[in-house]
Amino acid sequence: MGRWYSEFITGQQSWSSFQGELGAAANQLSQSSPAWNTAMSHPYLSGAAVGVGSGVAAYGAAAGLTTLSVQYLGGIGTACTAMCNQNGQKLVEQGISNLQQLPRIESATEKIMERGPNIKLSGINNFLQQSQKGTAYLDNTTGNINIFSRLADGSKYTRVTLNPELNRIISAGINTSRNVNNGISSGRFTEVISNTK
Amino acid sequence: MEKFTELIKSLTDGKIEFKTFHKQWQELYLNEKVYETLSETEKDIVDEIHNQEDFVLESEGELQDVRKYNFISISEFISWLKNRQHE
Repeated sequence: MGRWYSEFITGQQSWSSFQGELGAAANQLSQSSPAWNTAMSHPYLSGAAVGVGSGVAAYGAAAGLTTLSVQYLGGIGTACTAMCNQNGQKLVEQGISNLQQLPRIESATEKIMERGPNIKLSGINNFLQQSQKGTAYLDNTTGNINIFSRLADGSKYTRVTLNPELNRIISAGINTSRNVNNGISSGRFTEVISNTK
Repeated sequence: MEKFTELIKSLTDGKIEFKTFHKQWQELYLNEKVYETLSETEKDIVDEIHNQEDFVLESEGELQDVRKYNFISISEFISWLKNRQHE
């Protein structure tokens, strides 16, 4: 494994022959790479999902998916190559909207109301304002985006989880620092937006 | 770990409702005096359950809407816990 994508990104292979090999290669990659798996399942996240931290193979995969998105996602144009929504807008460049303005599923609201007081953050606005200071990570196992914001004492993080389209709050909670740090070091969480403010 | 284990068993044995489990789990998990007494392996297990527990929904209607984001039902969570106990 390894030649097919390097040939494609260096121009030694045509798009049509690359297309033919992509399906088989994707199957091969998906068995060994959670990031690639996420990219195939969530093409609008593909650039960010595979473009960070996985070296040359990731670059090749990102390049392939960029072309895929242009070919198959309704001609959204070449401008949008990573974290693209259905309108071809770059979600990374847009950043994450003010969390207080995003719609929430009902249980996410309940979780914020119930869990916030445990860390002296009562009320929706206080919890979301704290979370807005955090960093956004792609969860490579689900495709969801977690915004983690470390509390002043360093022992815990607030977590707000957005859907992969970044337009809805689907969960919220509190995680220990150990839990978050392990997720980052194991590769489960990949940083996608360093400053969500 | 005993407190966590007892709580899990109460749920999987049907002695308590998920709502009660959820409330008590959060209190235990966020209590540093309890969490810090766990071994590294125990913390791994507790963290894993905590992460899964965050994606359990009671409302069937809401679950239909967000199942695609990896949410699960209470019964699926209990099955997952039982399997986890057997590993």
